[in-house]
Amino acid sequence: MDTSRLTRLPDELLEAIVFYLPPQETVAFGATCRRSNKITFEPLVWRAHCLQEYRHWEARHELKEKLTRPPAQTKWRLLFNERRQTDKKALELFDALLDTQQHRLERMERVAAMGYDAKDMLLKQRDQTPDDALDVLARRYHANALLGSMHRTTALEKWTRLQKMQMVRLEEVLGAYDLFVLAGRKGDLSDIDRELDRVAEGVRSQDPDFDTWSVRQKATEIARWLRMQNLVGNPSENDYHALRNNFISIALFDEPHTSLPLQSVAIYCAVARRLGVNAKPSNYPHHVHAVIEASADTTLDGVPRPSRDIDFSNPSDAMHMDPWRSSTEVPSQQLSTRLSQMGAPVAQHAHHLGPTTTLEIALRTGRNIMNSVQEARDRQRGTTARASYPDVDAAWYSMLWSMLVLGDSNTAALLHRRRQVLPYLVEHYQAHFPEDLNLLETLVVPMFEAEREHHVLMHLITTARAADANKRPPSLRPSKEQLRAFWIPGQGGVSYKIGTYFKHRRYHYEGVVVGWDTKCAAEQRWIEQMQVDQLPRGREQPFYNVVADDKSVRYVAEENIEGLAEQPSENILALAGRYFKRWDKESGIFVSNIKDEYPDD
Amino acid sequence: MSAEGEQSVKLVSSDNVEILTERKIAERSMLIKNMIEDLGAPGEEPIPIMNVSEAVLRKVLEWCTQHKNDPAPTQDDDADSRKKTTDIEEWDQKFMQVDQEMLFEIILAANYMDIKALLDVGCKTVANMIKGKSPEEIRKTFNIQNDFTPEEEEQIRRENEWAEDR
Repeated sequence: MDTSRLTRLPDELLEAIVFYLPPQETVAFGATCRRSNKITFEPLVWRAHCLQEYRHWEARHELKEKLTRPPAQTKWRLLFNERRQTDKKALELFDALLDTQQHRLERMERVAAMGYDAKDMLLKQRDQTPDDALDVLARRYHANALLGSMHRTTALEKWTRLQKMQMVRLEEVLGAYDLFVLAGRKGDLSDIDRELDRVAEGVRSQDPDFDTWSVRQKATEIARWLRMQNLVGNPSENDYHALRNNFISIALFDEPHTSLPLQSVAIYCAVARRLGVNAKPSNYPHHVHAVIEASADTTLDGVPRPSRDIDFSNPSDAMHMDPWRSSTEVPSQQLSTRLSQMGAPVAQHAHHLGPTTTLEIALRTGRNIMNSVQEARDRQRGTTARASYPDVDAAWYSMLWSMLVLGDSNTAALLHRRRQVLPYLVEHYQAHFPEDLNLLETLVVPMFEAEREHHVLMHLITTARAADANKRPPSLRPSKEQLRAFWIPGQGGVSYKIGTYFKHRRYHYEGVVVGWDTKCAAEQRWIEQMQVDQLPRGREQPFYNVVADDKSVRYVAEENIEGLAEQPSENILALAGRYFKRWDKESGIFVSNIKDEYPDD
Repeated sequence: MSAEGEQSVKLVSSDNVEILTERKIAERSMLIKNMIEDLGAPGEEPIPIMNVSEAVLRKVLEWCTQHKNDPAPTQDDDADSRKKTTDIEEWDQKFMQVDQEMLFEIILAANYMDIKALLDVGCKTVANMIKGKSPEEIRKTFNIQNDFTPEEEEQIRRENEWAEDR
């Protein structure tokens, strides 16, 4: 006879209790007796655990499809276990890669290969590592770097599909640019999808008869709604080229939701498609419109039409909207008149009024980003303050990749452009995104098969892999005896330690010491160029590898280093995680995470 | 007409005790609310609460009194992915400091009387009693008989290996 009040509750109430248990305790409770065991095997229980513990899933799990099926058709408990194992494995790898520089790249690649199944873990490391964790900076930095690498992998997959003319949606192709600047923010492709679904539902729920409306009515209503919600357009014309306006997720998620006409039209088209309206960006010169097509058997106004191709200059076949500017239809007549004024031959009007390709829109976005970045850099010149989001270097990198992956069907022209882009991409990879080695290897190398660049790329990759696999040779500080033997007045060995936060005495930028040599170890040419011998202490003084607050890596003479003990700037703290565990307030120095290279520091 | 909520209603417990309470308080229970609407003339006819004893009914009404002005619960469309919290507000925590007998009676009564918020508090309280415990500790807390065969127990242990260390 069951003496427990708990297990005498009816199933539905036991289930209600189990729903409040975390996974660990669900299992523990299930291990107490047969009755509780049976309850904890309910598929809904594990479905809830899957959804509550893990927000991001690799596409292969087909989670979205699973959620539409009856819960019992999916082995949710097994799925949860599998996911838990992956999570554990990913965390082990992550902890190991923080520990030593040796094999760090390899471990990062292994985590990145888990894709979105590792994203929740990485987000947690990035956002929830407490400030007083012993390796807080390293943890946040590498989680962020890995998230970036993972996002870029997804972005490049989408673009590669587009280039191969496989099915990929407009909002994915544009969202791919966002993936480069996203880091841990909301705005991943699945976030964009969810938000567009939500917006579309908002439009539909305005009127119970919405689905019976004519295409023209729907098309106008969608624009009205988007403008009312401030999701499209840009009221401040001054900031037309602001970098943020190039990114569809920023338009959707960040106040004040401004965007370029192209992104506004893309949002419009994506929402329209969800509501059964066929809208695409147009081929119109200088300003993108949305062109909306009649359905196969009825006109835009719902009148039966003979089946024939859409005539884009026929107002009952196609209409144009400019959601960036207004919620009313742009009359085709007006667009045609303007085309004539611009000198476009009448025979080409239908082409300009018709839809453009997704590829063209993607390339156009790349060009827009290039302009915006250049403008942003001009504006920043001379000031040390940098707009933190979206990151200029990350945006630039997205443009470089898009130019490399996307483009002409003409092979010679494509190769020519790739050749132009490659050196910039490699430079940017080396300076800011060393974790992208794998992308270089799998995507870029095949592009230059049998070309002269192939050899250079292979050499670059082999060198980077070897550097990762080998232990760093340690730089030991000279012992006291050695110092005495080589004693030169005014020189007491290497004065500053790895992790010193400093200000450059002459150029006043701030930075942090990440390496040193007992004397200038640069090439003769550099020494001459930089006039090292003109320095009071010349080339025989210690020189330091430093990371400056503008992300650049520099080589600085000891006499130009002025140690600082105050709390470093946010910029420096974010960059420092690549080399350091944390900032130690008491001793005013970064705690080294490159002990393998500098064991005495 | 005086505010509807201030009318009084007469409830009858399973052990046949009449309890007079405010209509607004009693209507925290969807069961009672529906019955009053069906009956039409509140206050006159006593409402039988067949499965709930006087002691438990008084306890439940104590909770309803405290929460009589709570806003109606909002429909949560994203309940699945919402992080479930077992946080319980302070007053409710104190209210739930009763012996297990009473705790489970309250849960059963809340379920029968259809008081969603009270049922949630009850379930959360039990969940919190389970949290952080091993199967053996849970058995002890709730006096659960282990009715597994050794083979079954071994199988469960193997299935749950992942949960052993965090």
